[in-house]
Amino acid sequence: MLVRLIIGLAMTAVAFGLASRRILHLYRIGRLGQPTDPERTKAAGSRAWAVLSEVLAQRKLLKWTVAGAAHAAVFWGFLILGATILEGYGALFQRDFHIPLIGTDTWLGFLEDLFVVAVLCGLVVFSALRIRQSPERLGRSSRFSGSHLGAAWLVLFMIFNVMWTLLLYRGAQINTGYFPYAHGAFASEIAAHVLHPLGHTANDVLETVGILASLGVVLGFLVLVVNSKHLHIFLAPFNIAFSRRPRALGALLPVYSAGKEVDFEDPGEDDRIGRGAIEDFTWKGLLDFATCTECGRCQSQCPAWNTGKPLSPKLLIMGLRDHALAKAPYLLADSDDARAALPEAERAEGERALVGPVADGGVIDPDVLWSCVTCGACVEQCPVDIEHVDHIVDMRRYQVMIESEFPHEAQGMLRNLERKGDPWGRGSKARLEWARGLPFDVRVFGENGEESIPEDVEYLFWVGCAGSLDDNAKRTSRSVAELLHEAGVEFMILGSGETCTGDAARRLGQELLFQELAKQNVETLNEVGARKIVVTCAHCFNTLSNEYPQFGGNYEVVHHTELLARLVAEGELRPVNDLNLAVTYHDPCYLGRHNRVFSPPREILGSVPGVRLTEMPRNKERSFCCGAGGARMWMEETIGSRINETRTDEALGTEPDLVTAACPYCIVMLTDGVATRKQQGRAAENVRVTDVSEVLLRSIRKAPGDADE
Amino acid sequence: MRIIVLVKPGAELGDSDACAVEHALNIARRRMDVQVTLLTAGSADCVRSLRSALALGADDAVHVADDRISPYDALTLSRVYADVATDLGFDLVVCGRSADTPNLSLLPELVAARLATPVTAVSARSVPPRHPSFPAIAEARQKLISTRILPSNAAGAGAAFEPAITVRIRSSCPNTIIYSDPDPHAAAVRLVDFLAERRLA
Amino acid sequence: MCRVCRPRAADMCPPMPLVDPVLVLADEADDDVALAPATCELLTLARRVGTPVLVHCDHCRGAEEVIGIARDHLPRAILITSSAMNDRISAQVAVRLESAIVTDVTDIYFDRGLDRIVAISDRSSTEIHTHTAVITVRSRIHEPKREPLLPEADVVVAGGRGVGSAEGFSLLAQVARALGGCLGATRTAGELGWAPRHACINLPGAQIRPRLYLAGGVSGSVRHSAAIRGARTVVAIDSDPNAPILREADFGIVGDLHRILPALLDELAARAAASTPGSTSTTPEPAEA
Repeated sequence: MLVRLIIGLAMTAVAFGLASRRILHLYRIGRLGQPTDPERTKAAGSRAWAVLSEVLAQRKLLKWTVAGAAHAAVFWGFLILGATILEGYGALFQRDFHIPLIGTDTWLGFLEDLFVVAVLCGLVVFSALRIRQSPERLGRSSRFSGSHLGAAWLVLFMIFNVMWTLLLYRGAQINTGYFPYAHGAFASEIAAHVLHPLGHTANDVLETVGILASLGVVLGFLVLVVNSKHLHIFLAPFNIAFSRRPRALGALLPVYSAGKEVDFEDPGEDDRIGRGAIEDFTWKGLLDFATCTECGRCQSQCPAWNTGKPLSPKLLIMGLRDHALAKAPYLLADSDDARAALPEAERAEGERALVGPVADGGVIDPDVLWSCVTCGACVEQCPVDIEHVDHIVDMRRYQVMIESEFPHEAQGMLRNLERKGDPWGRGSKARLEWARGLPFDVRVFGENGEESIPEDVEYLFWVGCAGSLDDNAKRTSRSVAELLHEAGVEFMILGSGETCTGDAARRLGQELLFQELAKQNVETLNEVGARKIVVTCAHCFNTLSNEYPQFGGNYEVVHHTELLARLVAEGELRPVNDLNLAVTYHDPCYLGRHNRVFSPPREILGSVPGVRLTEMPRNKERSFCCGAGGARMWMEETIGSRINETRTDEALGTEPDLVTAACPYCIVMLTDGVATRKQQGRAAENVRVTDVSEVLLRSIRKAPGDADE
Repeated sequence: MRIIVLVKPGAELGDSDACAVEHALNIARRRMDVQVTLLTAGSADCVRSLRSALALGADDAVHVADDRISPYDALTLSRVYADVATDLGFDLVVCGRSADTPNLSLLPELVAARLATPVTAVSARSVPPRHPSFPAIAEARQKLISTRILPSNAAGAGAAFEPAITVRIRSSCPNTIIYSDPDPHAAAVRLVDFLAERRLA
Repeated sequence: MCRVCRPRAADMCPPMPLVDPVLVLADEADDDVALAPATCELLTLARRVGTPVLVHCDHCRGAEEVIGIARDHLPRAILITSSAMNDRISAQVAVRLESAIVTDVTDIYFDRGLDRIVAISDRSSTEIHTHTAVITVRSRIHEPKREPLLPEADVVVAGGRGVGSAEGFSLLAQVARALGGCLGATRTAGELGWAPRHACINLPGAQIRPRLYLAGGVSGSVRHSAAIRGARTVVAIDSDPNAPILREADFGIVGDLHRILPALLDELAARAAASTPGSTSTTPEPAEA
């Protein structure tokens, strides 16, 4: 007895020693990061709820049913089987140890064994998934492509070892009479049955061997965990607790340095703008990188990766993690001499640029950084709430504002924003053109000398740059104006008082320009007394409602589909004409995934007689980006295939007469895609792309013989 | 060594002027102890373009503040530039050659004629200089822009403060001429007439 | 009536009081037999505001000679064709005479109401206040030595989806050559393989700033028009009367470009033939401004 106690405790000491050293090292790396923004530690209630629902209830994991169920089984297995570890250590001291109070209850024995079986089943499922979806078979389209497969198999193997050694021990324990549970532990009883023929002495030996093996494997697993991506089992609850709530989508955060917001008009001497080196990330960012499980769900959804670009959110996070670990000796060295004394490889790691061509030693290649469309599909899927988009934009901020290194094509867009207030450089006077020729007068603020929005005006219609300057989007603006007029909703536009909301500048990383535009707009909106705003552009919608509060602009912002859906529901708009069209709907990323507005456009389509809606395979939260986000609308797409064409093919796969969307950029991209496919003979001539509001308008217009635009 | 870069009046820094500043900075980088000074003349919003040019890397600026000077009056501008440049002292004068701004395309030659030294003319490239970094913008806020005022009746300035010209800018297309005629020949004739009138064919 | 003055024989040409003299710097292509077309054009312009006085100069001392004559005759304007060589002379003359200078002019007239000369360029009209003005006149583009590159070309002839085929683009290329410019294409046309990639114009690429942008079959999305914002004169040919580019153009033709372009080529050729030296042509008397 004593021997096994000594061996058991000795193993424990060694394992804990190794693990603690590693944990301390990781902690010190984490401390290298900057403080976070102040919101991280507030709203304890919603954070606690997030941990409950995402960790205990495995909410995000269960989005993928099979893998999620298997993981839930293994996760709960780890928790429940903690009891067996307790029993094991107890048995080192006292052979017939059982947990006080409940330690002999049938239900507990049953539960423990149930989860042993569940975990083993989970392992079978995992193995099957890894074989079926192996990168060897599927190449890039496997979500495991780029992950450390060997380490993953080792982990599965170790979990398996934990399970069978446990069964071995418990079976032998039953046969030697020290097992706490008289009934219920069905799997252990089967194991006992198998071991019984070996005889009492053998079982006695096996019981000791079993307990040491079982504890040894668990301890070995502990050391493995802290040295691999499996560390997520400890880190995930913290990462989820400190992630942005309700999710890291929608608004982007302002630039913070050392936990305080940077004032661009009076910046501090040492303010760090964005992320130029790995140590510029906050401790939460470093925690993100360490928590990554290499599951690849993000990678599987990424529009860039799925069209042949080098960007994979998973590989990005893994790359940053590996770099942080590799650069740690350099960063933790406390003097120049200590740094000089480091081995060559470690010093070289310290000199690598965070963003730069991989051929020159850069950690993140510029093609990777600039391929991102900020669609958020990665953030949506990540089971441990990693904030990929935030990290990408923070790296972009450094590249744009400090290094001035960014795709030169975007320069034109930035200059137009600076000089003319819209990305195409048309100028503010052109913003009234769209309203010409409507059968009624659109009320323009200031026309009658107003100083603030009149009482009878219910909505300020924010037309946006695309809505007033792009030909396709102008049709949407006109439809919405006509529909509001039809429904008797009084609205007003700012006309040349509008300037670009600045969304593209912010996603590009040009935060200074964004703030100038935002402050200008907030000033205008506050001066005129704007209260309720309706927008047609999903990007304007996101920026006005989620980001302008950062600058003192708090308005009730509603997307045109939300307003129109409500008007239809209330009977103010009556769609009567039967359109007899096969329709599909594309969820814009900034309306759907970022802002959770999924139903209203569908309600509108559903209310129109004769519209047969077929959903695309990837819809709602899983919608596949059109490719224009992240300021990519103004950049050339030179690598791989076109994102918009990929999405167009998916839309055409539903055999529609009409492809609809609810954002002008989506409409531009899909229109281009359809036109290209038509030219290639891969789309029917009659397929058109329009906004949802146009469909509604066509059904409402009293004379069905109205000429098409 | 001092290089003076002539900046055309206006709130926005023109592409040719930005290229001229870059040219001057390229020279400055290759040598030690070179000062790049910007010089412009015109109304108060010229300061914005000076700040942009300072953010590109110029060291300091001189602004001749006078609302009377027309931004398209090459003759008067050349005189003001030449007078101030002579006063400041210089080793080299660089000036952007802008094809877009009415009447200013010969500004380098005019200034050269007055100073009796060659002036380096720099044309706008199709890819303008890079957007300045934020630290450069912040630093530019601290750089010195000294303001000068032209005396109301300077001796030797002659009839200077009568503007030499008045320019009216025609907006892009107030009078788009649309011609629909089934006869292609007639359309072609009208088009060539239009082009000939503008000395384009 | 035209007065020709050769400075070398200045002593044989005593200063005569002339009504509203306008000096015209002769083109170097002039010879004793006939005047170069450029010179004739200057003379035509000069007649609109006064009496032309033709000055032949030696380019080494050109500025001095012009200045000398100007001081004798006190002309109200001095017309010079814009060229690298002439531009230096123009600048010297303007500075020495302290006369206003207006560049890249396409037309001039005399405004009786204001009692001033007004010079017209692509995007502006300039009233001249000083007694004398140096006016550099845009030279008509003649045969260029080689096709200019897209970012620097003064003339760009571009096509879009409406051209329909690569053959259509070769027609556009001919027009480009006839006008001394280079071929351009929208991104769509480039992707369809009708034009080479380096000819493509779009917002993500470089902006172009030609004097003349002629678009055939380009509908004119806002992205394309952003890329051609720097063009000073825009001409568009499209079969769709609602094409956005027609609203942006200074001159638009609604019609079939496959018939209009050949007609355009014919007309350009005809005019080029008519204006070569040696052929008789009557420069039409300008109407009163």
